[in-house]
Amino acid sequence: MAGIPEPYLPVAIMTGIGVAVVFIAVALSRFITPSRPSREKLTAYECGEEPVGSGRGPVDIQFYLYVLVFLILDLEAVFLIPFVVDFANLGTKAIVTMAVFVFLLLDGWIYAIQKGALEWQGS
Amino acid sequence: MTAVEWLTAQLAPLVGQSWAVLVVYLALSAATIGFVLAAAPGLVWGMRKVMGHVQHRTGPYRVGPFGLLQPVADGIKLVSKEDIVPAGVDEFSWKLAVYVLPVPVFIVFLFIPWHPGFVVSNVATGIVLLLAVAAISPVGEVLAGWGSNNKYSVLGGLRAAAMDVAYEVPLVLAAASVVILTGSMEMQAIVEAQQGVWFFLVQPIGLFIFLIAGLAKIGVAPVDLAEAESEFVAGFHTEYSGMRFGLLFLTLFANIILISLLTSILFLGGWQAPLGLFDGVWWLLAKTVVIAVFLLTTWFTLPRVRVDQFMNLGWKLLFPLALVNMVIAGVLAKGGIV
Repeated sequence: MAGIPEPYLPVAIMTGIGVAVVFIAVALSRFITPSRPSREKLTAYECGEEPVGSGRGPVDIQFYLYVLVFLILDLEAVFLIPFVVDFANLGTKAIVTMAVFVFLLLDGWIYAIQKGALEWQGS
Repeated sequence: MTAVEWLTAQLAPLVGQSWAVLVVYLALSAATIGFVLAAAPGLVWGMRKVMGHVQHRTGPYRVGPFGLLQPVADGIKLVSKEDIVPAGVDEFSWKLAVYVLPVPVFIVFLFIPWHPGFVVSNVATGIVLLLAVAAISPVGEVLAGWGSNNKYSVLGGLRAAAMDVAYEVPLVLAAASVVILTGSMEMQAIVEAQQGVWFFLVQPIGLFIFLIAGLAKIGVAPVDLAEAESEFVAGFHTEYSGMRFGLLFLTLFANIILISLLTSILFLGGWQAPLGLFDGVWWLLAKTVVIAVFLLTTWFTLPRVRVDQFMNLGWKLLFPLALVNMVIAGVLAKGGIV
């Protein structure tokens, strides 16, 4: 167990077991099921019509904007949690510091709203 | 002494300390995944029964007593379905998604405090690690959607990921309010801190936020925007069939169990008994069943919301509300009320 903090060991073990369970489930079904591919069966589903072009067309920029805002706000959450663990015993200085940090990120959130970055596809 | 320490101490004289630790963790991890693989089909049966009765039907009743063997029949059907790999898919990401989606959900169950002194992986970072592992799902959704090379799958996968990230922040902040009141990130400490007062009494807004964000994470109606049948066929599931679809379906139900368990642990006292009567895993399971039935009835009763409404709710209402809720929790903790 050298180098691995003990309580984290099950996480590694579970990753292994989980991957094995999924692999076995898929392999097992491969083993016992018929395989009769046909052209119709293998085409992408498009309401029963012939698929037109590639499935991966350009998508709205909105998804990218969402993830950008998410990065900022999730970062805030990640910094907040270790900060609040001992909240009951924190001094005023620490709380004011954190309030300034949260305020700066909230400012970004308000900016994103004003720019329309959080409107669903420019609605 | 925790259960894991006790088991290790029993085994240590026989095989040595390191091997005892490894064997105990292996056995408990296997038991945990066994629980998930048994409970998820159980919930499928529960889902069909609840859905049946909500819609004035009986639900499954032919296969076995009360239709209890229905999930087994479903399982056999899924295993024996032809394994179709559509021609246009990007095989690597398409197949990888079937691992990326279920495995983190299995891992998350390791951190659940089942019983006083019994949690498989008692990490100090408890709730943070749990939410971090659970947050891997958007990666799998985008992989599945993009790999499928199907217009519906691409849109469904992206929308699923967009919804997950929109509700990730309120979910984490609602959990952070509980951390403020507890003063610890350990799962077991969170449950122990609710001796006397369950957190939903002092954190009603937190419970509200957590349930909505949890519903978004599960992604069933009224918020099944990622696989809305009338818009996307089945979202990123569209090109999956047979066992691979079965695994994605399993993930969905494991997620419902997970959100129900987490709500019970964070807000309803986990294994704490009402009136101090026999603390234990039975109370955790009873509360989980209540929350799960609540989520299922929500699923079958409410019509789907519009995507722009739901995104606005997450970004513009729940996020600031979660911050306000944290301030409330902070005031309560500072005032020594909890």
